[in-house]
Order: sequence, then structure tokens, then C-alpha cells
Amino acid sequence: MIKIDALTKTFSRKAGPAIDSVSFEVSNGEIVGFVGLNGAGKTTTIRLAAGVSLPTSGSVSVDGYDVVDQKVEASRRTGWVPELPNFEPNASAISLMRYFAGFYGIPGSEAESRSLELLRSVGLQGAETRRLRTYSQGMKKRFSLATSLLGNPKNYLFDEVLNGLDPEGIRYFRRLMVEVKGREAAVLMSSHILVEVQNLADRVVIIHKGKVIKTVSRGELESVGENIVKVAFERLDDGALRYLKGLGNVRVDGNAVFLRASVDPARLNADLVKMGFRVTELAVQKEGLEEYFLNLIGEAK
Amino acid sequence: MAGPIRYDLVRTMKSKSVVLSMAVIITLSLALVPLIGAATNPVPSSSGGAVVLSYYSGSEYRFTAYSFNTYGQPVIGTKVNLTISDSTGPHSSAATTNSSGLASWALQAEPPGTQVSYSMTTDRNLGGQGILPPGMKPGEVLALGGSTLTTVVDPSNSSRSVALFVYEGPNGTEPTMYRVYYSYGSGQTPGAAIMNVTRMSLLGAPTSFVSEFRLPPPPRNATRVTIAAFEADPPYDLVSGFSAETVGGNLTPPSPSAVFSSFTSTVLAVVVPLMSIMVAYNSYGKDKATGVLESVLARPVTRRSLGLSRYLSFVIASSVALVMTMVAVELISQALLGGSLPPASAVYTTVSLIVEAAAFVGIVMLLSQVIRSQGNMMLVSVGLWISLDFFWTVIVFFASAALGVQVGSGDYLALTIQSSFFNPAQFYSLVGQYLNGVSMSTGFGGSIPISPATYGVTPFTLALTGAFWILAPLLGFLYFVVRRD
Repeated sequence: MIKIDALTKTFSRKAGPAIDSVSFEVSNGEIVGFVGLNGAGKTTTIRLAAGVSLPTSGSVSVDGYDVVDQKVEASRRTGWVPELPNFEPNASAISLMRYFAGFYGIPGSEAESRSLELLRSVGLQGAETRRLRTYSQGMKKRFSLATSLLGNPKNYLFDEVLNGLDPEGIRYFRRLMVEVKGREAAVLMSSHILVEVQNLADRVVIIHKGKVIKTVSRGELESVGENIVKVAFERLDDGALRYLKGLGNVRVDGNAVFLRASVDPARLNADLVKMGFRVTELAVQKEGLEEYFLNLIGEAK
Repeated sequence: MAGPIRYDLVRTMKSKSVVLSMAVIITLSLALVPLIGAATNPVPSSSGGAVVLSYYSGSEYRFTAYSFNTYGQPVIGTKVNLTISDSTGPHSSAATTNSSGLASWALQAEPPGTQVSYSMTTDRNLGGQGILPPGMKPGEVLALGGSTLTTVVDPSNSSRSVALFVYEGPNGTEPTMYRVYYSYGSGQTPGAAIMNVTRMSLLGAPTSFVSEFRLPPPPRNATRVTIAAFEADPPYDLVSGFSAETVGGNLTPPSPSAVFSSFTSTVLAVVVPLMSIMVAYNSYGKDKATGVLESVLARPVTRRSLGLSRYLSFVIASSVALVMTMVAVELISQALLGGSLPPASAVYTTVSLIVEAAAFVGIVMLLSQVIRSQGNMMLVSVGLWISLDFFWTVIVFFASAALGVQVGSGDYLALTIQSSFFNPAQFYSLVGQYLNGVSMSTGFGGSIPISPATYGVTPFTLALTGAFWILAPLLGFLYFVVRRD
């Protein structure tokens, strides 16, 4: 379990906090999506949770171990994949894996076999002895994924892990998510690919300008947001627009109006016709996480 | 944790900067130690003195004096008193050397003869008296005192010697009609036995009253040097009374101790701090700035342990590099100089340089915690090295000026030595001062030995200083490493 409590990080007093009192939990067997615009504070939060950065205030605990005061125990239980993995360029993948294995107390011979097994499982077979400077960004991501699995941890922090992965890598990652979830692991994953988040996550934490603005549960995710009713007119009239605005949020695109409101489409159509507006199309669309997120951010702005 | 530390050590030892530094140091050892050995000219040098020459012009005695220091450079203000006694009584005069170290004057007296004697004194412990040779022809030059041919220290390279020929031609003309020769030999053969142009090598032709000729390095088996001035034309007569085996005692081959000391002070003491800076920067500072360190920090390891592991691996790597260098220097010493390094010096030097290496590794790691920019960090590190290694004497000079301490005074010497306690790059020289002693120049090449303890250089203060320079940067680094990203 990963518990983030009132976490604040200030890089410069002038710029203000990068994240401000961020609090949420990731339970065992739960995948939590972490979404937000660029600069919202996702990476900062994940780096603090991984123990590679020090918080200004607040705390992160992993399975009850504080990542600052009990770092060794906390890190032993955490696998971290950064957004842009950076490894010692002159080391070969296998030698660095063996080096990392030493920190987990894995003895030499076992370290070798486990490292090879993990490197192959992430699709790096044949590149085990290559120097990391020759790896592409996608290969580095795969390597990073392999290193995060070294200690067989029960908690994972994936920062934009899908970026740079090819379709095969993305498929591997999906399978991995299912597997770690089956092992009752706690996973916090940030991604800009909201469809993936929506498909994989049990819960989504939305962060904006360093603050958590919404947490959406699995149940809510399935029916996230409200219906969007598209009403197309032969010629959009001010009166029609005024009427629709009175029902909910609208977005105008040419002669079409997208109404976000809980309305009965048939009743709406009847009302518009009654008022003398010529409706050419009326369709109901389900709002996705992306639209939901963008609307939420729009409101937060 | 043993595994990761071992990996860090192997990684550091294999890192480009360490391999490069070790290669540079060992190559420098291979290249410079023989050169330093060859350049170390063990010809004993004069500690300075004066030469007084005279000739009879036909109506008066004309004198020329030159006063010089241990480098053969002119000494101003040397007073020469001269008395010529003839049948009419004594005739005295005095002169003082000018800014060129020269004094010229004349004295009227009877021509040289059995009754004409001279007596000369100077305020530079040079004197002489005798009869002016009856056969001395007008215009013929006679040295009344001092060695006209001697060896002095080369001002541009104190480890080498220069032959100094002070002479004039007939009637005070420039001594272009002479040639200076040299030879190195062994055994106890008197120098005069080989004073023959056919048995000597030409050193040069004098062009003025004072001429200097750099002596080539002696061969290893040389135990004696002879320099002599001959007439330039056949039959190449030895210039009477002005050629001599100018040095007493025997030549000895360059001592491994001297070569080692020269090599460590000129090369290692400069290169080791730079090597430490480069290693610590490349393996920690750069890793930290580029995010490579984070990939390690994400493992079950504390910041303090990781920092300490890297620090230890750098210090061990630097120590291994130094020991390898010492082994290389020892092998060169045995092969070329026929002797071994003095074990005590080798140990003290290695230990003091390891202290310097540890101090600079700690300083760079500390800087990497407080300076975020990679470029700024490198700039500050190298700037620090340059200031502490190359400009320290300038800094001390300005500090003494600010404190009103006169350069060359005892207080200045004290300030110079004691300021070294505040500079990690001076630790090696501080240890050297303890081992070799301190001396204060008295001018004219003289010096007074002073106990290093007078300036607080004792085993206790050295141990304390060494411990401080190892621990202070390290503790500073460990303090910040758990408090700052």
C-alpha cells in the first residue's frame, strides 16, 4: 500500500510549491491512475514516492515504511519506472542489473539468472550485454521496467510508462498490470493516454496545479461524466442557443451544439420543434475520461 | 552492501576519468622521472662571491671587481679595499659594486716587481695578498682574489648548474680570445691532469666580462667535473691561474630521493587534486546532474550509504592509482638511477597525497550537493583547484600585504607555512616541510635552518590537519546529502 499524506514540494520559493498538500492512497490490489496536465505535479509526486527526491513537508509511506526515514525498507517494496529513465551509459544492461540486484540482497549467481530472466521477459533478449548508451528510449523504458521488478516488490510507481513503448511493449505492460494486480500489488500509474488509464485503473486521481482536484472511483469511471447531446440545426438561432444554455454547459461547433446535461433527448427534441427550431440531428454521446478530464480542468481554471 | 560497494569500486576504477588520470600519471612518471633525473645536475655550486682582477696599464694599476650571488647574478654594494705597496709606501683605494655587480677603479703605484705587493679585502669574505709577479707584463691580467671560473645555480632551473667565467682580456678588453671547456670524469685524478683542450669539451666562448655557460648533465658514473679556460688559438695555452677544477668534493649520480621529491612536488602534487576532482565530478556530480544517480537511489539504499559508497570507491581508486604510480616511479628509479626510493618518503608522500585526494573528492561531492548546475559545479571545482594549487602563493602574498607583513621576513615565512594548514592542496608540502625542514633565506644564497615545530608543523598538527581535510568535506557532504536533492 502506498500512502501519500499532505505531500508538498517546493523547488523555489519564488515559484511556489510544485505540489501542495497532496494526499491519497493506493491500496493493495488496486491500480490508481494519476492524471493531470504537463507540470501539474504528477512526476514530482511519483519521484517523492520513489524516494529519489526529498519532500518539503508531508510524507509517503510504502507498506507502512516512510520513504525518507525508512528508505531501505520502503524502496525494497517499491518498483519505480521514471518517465525518462537514465542509466549509467557505459554499463551493460546485465552488469547494471547485477549491481542493482546487490541492493536487494540477491546473491551473485541468482542475480545473474534473475536479471537475464527479467531482461528477456521485457523483450530485451539479445541486448543483455549491450551498453545502455546504445539503447533507444523504448529499450531504456523496458530496461527500467525490468529493474523495477528485480526485488519482486508489492508496490509500483509507473510514470508515463507507456510513452516510448511500441505496441508490443504496451501489450506487455497491460499483461504486467493484470499480473501485479493479481498479486495484490499497489500500482500508481501516471499517463497522458487516458483511454489506457480508464481501461486499467480502479481509480483515477486528477491533479491540477499541484493539488488533487478529484478522485474518480472505478464505479464512477464506468459512468464517468454526463451524457452529451449533440443537437444540429439547419441554422443555429440565438433563441435556440439561449434555451440550450439554460439546460447545461454547451459547446458550439458550427450549427451544432454539444449540450452536457442530464436531459431526455426525445423530450428535448419535442420542445425544440415546438419552439419552431429546425433540428436536423439529435444524438446522445457518452462522455469519455478525456472529455471529463478536460471539462474538469476547464472548470478548475 | 558489499556487492554494490564492490561494483562502485570496479566501476570507478574502470571509469574513463580514472583510467585516463592513471594513464596520465604513469606516462608522466615514465617521461618525467628520467628527465628530472638527468636534469638534476649534482655539480656543487658556489654560494656566490666576488672576483677582483687587475692589470698594469704602464702607468697605473686598474682593477675590476664583480660580486655575485649563488645564481651568478650581480650583487650591488660589495665594498673592495685595495692596497698596493711599493718602495714609496702603501697606496690604498676602495670601490663599491654598482647595480651590475661591477666596480672599476685605478691606483697609481710602481710597476710589478719583487718589492710590489698587494693586499685586498672585501665585505664578502674574500681577501688576498701577495707579491705582484715581477714578470707581469703591462696589460696582462691577474686575479687578485676569487675564482674566475666557478659554478653557480642556474636561475631558470635550480636543479642545474652554470659555469660562470669572470675574466677580461689584456688591457681590460673583452675576453673573446679565450674558450671555456669542461669535462666530466671519475676517480681521484687531479683536475690539472686532464686540463687539455684535446681531453675536454667546448662549453663556449666568452663575450663579456661576465659569461655564463650551462653545464650539460653529468653522466651517471661521473664523480668529478673540470672546467677550464684556454686561449682560443693554438697552442691553446691554459690561461694561467684561471683554470681550475672549480668544485671540491665528488659528483654523485642523481639521487632517487631528489628525483622522487622533485617529481612528486612538480607533478603528483598538482595532478592528484585534479584527478580527484575529475573522478568525483564524472562519477558523482555528473551522475547526479544527469539523473543517473536516481536510478541507483531508487534501490533499497539510503542516500548516506550511497554517497559514502561512492566516496570510498573514489578514494580507494585514487589510492590505488597513487600506489601504482609509486611502483612505476620505483621501477624507473631502479632502472635509470640505480637506486630505490627512500621507503619513508614514499610512504609519507603517498599518505599525504591520499589525504589531498580524499579532501578534493569530498569537496567536489559537497559542491555537487549545493550547486545544481553541472557547468557551474565544474567551473567552481576547477577554479578551486587552480586557486589552491597555483595561486596560493599569490593569495598569501596579498594576505601578507593586507596584514602589513613584509615579504621575506620571518613573519612572512611563518604566514606562508601556517597558511598551508588552511589549504588541502598544500598538505603534501606541509608534510614535506616537516620531513625536510624549513629554512629561511639570509640573502646571497645563504639560509638558516628553522625547526618546523616553530611554525606549528608537528606530527600532531599534521595528523589533525589531515583528519580535518578528510572529514570536513565528507561530513559536509553527508550533512547535505540527506537534506538536499
